[in-house]
Amino acid sequence: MCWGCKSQHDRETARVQKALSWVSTAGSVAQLWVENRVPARYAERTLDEARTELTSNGEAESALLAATLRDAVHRADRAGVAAPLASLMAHRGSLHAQSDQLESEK
Amino acid sequence: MKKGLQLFLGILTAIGGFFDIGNLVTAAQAGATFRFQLLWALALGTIIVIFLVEMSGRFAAVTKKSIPTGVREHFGVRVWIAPFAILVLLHFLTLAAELGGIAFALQLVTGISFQIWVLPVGVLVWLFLWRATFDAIEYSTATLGLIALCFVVAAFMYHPPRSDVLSGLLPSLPKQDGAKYWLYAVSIIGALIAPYMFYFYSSGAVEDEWDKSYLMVNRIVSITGMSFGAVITAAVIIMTGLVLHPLDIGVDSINQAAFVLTGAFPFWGFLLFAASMGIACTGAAAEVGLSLAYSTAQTFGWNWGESLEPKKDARFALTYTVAIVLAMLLMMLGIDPLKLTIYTMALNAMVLPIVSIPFLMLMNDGRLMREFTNGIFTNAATAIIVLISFVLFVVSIPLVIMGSG
Amino acid sequence: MHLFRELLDKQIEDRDDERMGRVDAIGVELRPGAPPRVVDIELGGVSIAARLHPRLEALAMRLHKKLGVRRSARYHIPWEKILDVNDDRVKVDVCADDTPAMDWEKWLRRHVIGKIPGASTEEEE
Repeated sequence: MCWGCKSQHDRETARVQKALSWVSTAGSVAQLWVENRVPARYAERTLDEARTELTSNGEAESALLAATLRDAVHRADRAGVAAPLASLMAHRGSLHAQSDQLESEK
Repeated sequence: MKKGLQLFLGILTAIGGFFDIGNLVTAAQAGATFRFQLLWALALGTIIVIFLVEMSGRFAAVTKKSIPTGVREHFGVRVWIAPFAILVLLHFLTLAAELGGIAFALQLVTGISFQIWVLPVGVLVWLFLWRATFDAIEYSTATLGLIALCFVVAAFMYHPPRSDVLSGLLPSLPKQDGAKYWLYAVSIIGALIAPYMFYFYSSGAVEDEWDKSYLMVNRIVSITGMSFGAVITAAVIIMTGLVLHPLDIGVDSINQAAFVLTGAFPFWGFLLFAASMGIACTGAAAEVGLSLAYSTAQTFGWNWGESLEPKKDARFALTYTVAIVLAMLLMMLGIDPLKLTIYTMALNAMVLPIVSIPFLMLMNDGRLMREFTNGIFTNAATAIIVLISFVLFVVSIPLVIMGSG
Repeated sequence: MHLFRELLDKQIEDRDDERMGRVDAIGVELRPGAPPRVVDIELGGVSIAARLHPRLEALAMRLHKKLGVRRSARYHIPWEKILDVNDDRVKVDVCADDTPAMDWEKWLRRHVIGKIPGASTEEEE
């Protein structure tokens, strides 16, 4: 066992998992806001956080989508959420596949 | 009649006072990442805390002394000073985390940053300690704390597969993320056995002037109260396991867990989460602040008592005042309450041997405890607790260093 | 030797049962050909520090000289003043409020805690 050092593979797995987690968070929160289940301010804050986390985990496109969602929430534009949300969910699908792939390679 | 009421209030307090930022955060992380697989850590931690709380209540009822008093008188200041210093540090970090928790709950609802909320929150908690009596603090926060039962209601509404829940109660090895799995297990146990739990309980028993006639009350309160209290934490694991796990959401920020109740309660879910968190942390912050002041006053033999006016025990009042101010400053720097919580809880687990072993030795001292020393069963359990805490100690160091990364 | 253990670290209470500190140290007179005799009991942060480490004692003493409000860093209560010793406390025939043991308490009362509104109900109502 090697404490403190992680292999390239482990690091990539951790990155993908984290990105997946934040893409999912952004998607869920945007959807819940559309359904009026969470307040706009919270949704904005969380989408902002998702953008930062996705950027630092090398998912620039998803980060941009999170920012777009945030802006839609800010404008209270419920219809404007649909398109970026759909793209984000597509990203989620591919990240999920990537994560499964990495798991199976172990 | 009086005992009956005491029993009822005691159980209520134990249930309401059990849940805090540590339990919430560690349970949410465990549930989101490992679904029900870490329920066993909760069960194990609960058994340990039942024994510790029962013993500290029994110690207070038999000797009329709190734990710091007992340890210092018996082993001397040279033995007690190191555990005491660690205890002060842990209380302080926990206090900061609880204040952060209240402030974060307000951030969830208002959108205004927790760093700003920390200021009024700290003043409010301080005012509460400054003006209220011990009983008022204990019972009001405990009663309000029952709002966290909404997690239990939600968990029942989802009808989680019973076989999955039961199998989670048996320890099993993780399929992946070994380091994270053990870190979460250690943090869950650390959150349950936070030293303020049993130090506060023993000071409260002394303050309420328990005697031997309270031994049965003590036993029932610690077993029932702690078990029911753990049910709330279990419900958090189950809810995050049911809602966040399928979405692949890991809880690296409290924001990611804040909507777990919106499926069960579409309109109120979000508010219920924030309210449960805010109130649980308020009660815990008051308890931690008091517990710190009690332990310090008892260690140095100052006058102490929450029902006295601050002027009658200036040093006691000053202790919690300074602690709250420093904790507020720490949180205003913008330290993430979630991260602070995780590390503090792991630290709790790490230092359990140091803060509990002198006390466990006292529980076996016939001169002090007379016929009320630990029985064979409790001693066997105690031995296991010491062993587990030692293992936690050894295991948690590399885990904490490796961190959650 | 038994007496030392019996005394050390015990709660000290004054003649009105006011808690005033703990027995932080014991003053002992060594007598040739006779068992050592307890002369007084001591309380104070410096006395605690002295039991932990000589360096800590020096540090505590320096802090006391710079910031202390106590009349003396170590407060000695002569053996003659001890009224009673039991499992729970050492009762001494002094008035806590008049001793250095309560100097800090009184100072804080006057300059810090007492200045905060609500410290005492008597004054307000």
